[in-house]
Amino acid sequence: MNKFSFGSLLFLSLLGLLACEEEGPYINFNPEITDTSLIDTTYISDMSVTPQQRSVLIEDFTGVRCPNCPNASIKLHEIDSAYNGRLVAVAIHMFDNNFAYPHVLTIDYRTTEGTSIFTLLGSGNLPVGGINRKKYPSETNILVRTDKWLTYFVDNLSETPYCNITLTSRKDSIDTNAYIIKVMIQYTSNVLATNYITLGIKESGMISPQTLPNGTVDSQYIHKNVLRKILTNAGGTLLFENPEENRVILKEYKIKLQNDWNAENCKIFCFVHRNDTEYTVIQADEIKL
Amino acid sequence: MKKLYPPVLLFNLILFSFNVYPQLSGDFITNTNFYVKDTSIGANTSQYKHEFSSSEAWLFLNYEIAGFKFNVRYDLFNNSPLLDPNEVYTKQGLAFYSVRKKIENLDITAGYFYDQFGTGIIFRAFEDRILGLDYAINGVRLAYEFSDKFRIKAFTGRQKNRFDVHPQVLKGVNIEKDFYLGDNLQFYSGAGLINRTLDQATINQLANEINSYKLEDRFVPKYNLFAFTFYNNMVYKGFSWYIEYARKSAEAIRSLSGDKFEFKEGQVLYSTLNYSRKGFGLSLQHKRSEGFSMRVSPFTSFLVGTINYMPPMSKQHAKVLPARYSISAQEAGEIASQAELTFSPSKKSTFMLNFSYVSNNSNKRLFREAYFEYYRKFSKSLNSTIGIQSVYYDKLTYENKLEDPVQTITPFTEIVYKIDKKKSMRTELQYLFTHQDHGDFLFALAEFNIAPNYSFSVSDMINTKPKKLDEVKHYYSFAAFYSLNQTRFGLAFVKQVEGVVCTGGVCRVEPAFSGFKFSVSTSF
Repeated sequence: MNKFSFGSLLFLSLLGLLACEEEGPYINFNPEITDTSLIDTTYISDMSVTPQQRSVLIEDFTGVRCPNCPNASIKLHEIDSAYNGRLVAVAIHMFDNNFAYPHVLTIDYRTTEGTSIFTLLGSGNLPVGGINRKKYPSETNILVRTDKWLTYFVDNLSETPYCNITLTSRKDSIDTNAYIIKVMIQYTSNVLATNYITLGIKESGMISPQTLPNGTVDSQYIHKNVLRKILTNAGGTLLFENPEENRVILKEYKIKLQNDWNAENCKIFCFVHRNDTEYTVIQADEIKL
Repeated sequence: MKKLYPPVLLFNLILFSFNVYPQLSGDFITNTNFYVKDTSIGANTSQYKHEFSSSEAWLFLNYEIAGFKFNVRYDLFNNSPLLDPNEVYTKQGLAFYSVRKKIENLDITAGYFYDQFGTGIIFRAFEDRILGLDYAINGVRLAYEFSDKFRIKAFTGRQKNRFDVHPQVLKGVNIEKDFYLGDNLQFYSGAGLINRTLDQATINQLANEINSYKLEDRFVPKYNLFAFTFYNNMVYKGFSWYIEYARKSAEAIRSLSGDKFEFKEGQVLYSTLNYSRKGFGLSLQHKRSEGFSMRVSPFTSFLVGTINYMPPMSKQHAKVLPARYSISAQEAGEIASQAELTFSPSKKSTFMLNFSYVSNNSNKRLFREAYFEYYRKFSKSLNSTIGIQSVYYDKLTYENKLEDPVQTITPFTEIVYKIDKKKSMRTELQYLFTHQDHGDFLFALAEFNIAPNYSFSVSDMINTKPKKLDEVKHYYSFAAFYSLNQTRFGLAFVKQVEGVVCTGGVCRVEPAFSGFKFSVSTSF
């Protein structure tokens, strides 16, 4: 044992601990323009409201080169058909994933926000999804395989959310390619937790190549619910700490559509959630743009 | 003789037949306070209004058998303000447990343990019950001795947080080697490395806060903090020179104003030079630190979640008024120096001179102390100490109070008189002059001891020229202690002014106290 020198042991110890370059959390370095014409306010309402029915968020992490991912899209369609209006589905394509790398000369659906969310929720092999961002007792991860989506989706339906979300959308009066999204959140009970809001835009109906389960590529595949942009922080923006019953939060967001987005096929989705020791979604909603 | 049940007798016979002799030892401490409301001195926390009493107790047991050491500690807090002076905390249960075994040169500990690297600048896990601190690590610790001059230790675990642990993971490694060059020159060298990993919830909270900053203030926070230290103590005849340099990687730390996080590295240079020979001692210390906040999480503050320990750079006082404006190290950074000279021209007299100075990194003075003490032994039965202290203390920095810096001059004296072989008398007289904070104080104490069982004391601290109160205020105490072998009982009535309480350079501000204190401590 004496053959180990003081220096070599020290060097090995340093090497062991400093060997890896870490991947940090998502920080938004894009400039944000504060639009003072947008509403951002909160108050306590005199009127109580009845809790809404729960809508359930399913985040489908997918990729255009992922052969089994179309099955996940079919699963979402089945759930939506069976439980009309109770599902908020978002298909998320990530960077740093070979299955999501676009086919040659085709549309790139990947977003930095989607990549951050995938990391935040724990990643996994595609296709994989989060149901209301919960970690279920029999699961080791938040993100689960498609065959479990329906079971967990149904589990969530019976729960009563403690806040209601109301979304409205209107065209901006000046910029015809921009929309103003108004979000009203009202709490139906006192909450001892910090809540966050995530709001984004998704698009359906884009035709572009997708690898199918049999390994072939369908160049006429119709993509649905594809995440285009998150207007808040990717991991959510602070909404309110320990909100009281009848606390109302009113916020407006402005989104300018990119040229290759079709407004007719775009939807705004929004959800209120935790973002501390858990990420559980409290309530979700979506509207057509 | 007590009757032994057959299974117990059999079990003990088996142990003795294998030459295994179990040993059980331990200690017990309890403190109970009864609160007597006195709003005139600011003694008005919740305990004075609702609970009226509080207790803390610790029972520590150590069981050794066949080279194994099993440690457990039961803690109790009932309506206690100890962990946070403004809190009423109640909980009890098993707060510490560990198993330790030495297999040849390998020392293994699993469970809770205390430890430190070097002086503790990058890592120190310790306990201080006076301040309610317990920085034990719950994890695994391995130590290996290649020889009596070369050793390594490593650990991984999480820091204790009351009856739970903080979610962040700590790991570290420490190597030490001693070099002997001839008979008079020795080097005691060491190096340590600490890594702390933030949990996902903390990093999410951090990222969310950073995302709410202005664009130019945003940065990508790190999960991992790395800190290393190199230290060496050179001993040559009567000289010893210690030097330590520590550096930590950039991480999110709270800005001085506390309104946002900043991404900053940190470093510390600490050195001491000591010389001693018969009747003469000289000690010089210097420390320079920048942004050296070492915590389990950037969201913890004050004394919660501290991983390291900064050596104190001011004199540690036992006397009440000289200790009134004591300081702790500043995480944001400081430049601190201290010199102490001790000179004993004969066995009957000793002079001691101490000077310390602390400034922040912008050279703004934070603390300055000049201290002189003369000890004289007149006879076998009579000795005395006289001295004077002068202090400059930046109240905003050390207590976060928007008040003028405090400047004091405090003369003091102590006389000890042995009446006979068993009885002795000790008196103290101190006066603190200041135009700031609470104003002038006079402190007088008389203590009568009957060895080995009894001790009685009476003291009064008088706010003679009050600045914050309308009238002259007395903070008197009466105390009696009874000792029987290793057990000690104490009962006191105490009125205590609000102020900073420090032990070993770690300090906190405590509110005023008025009431009875009862304590029992024993070991077995």
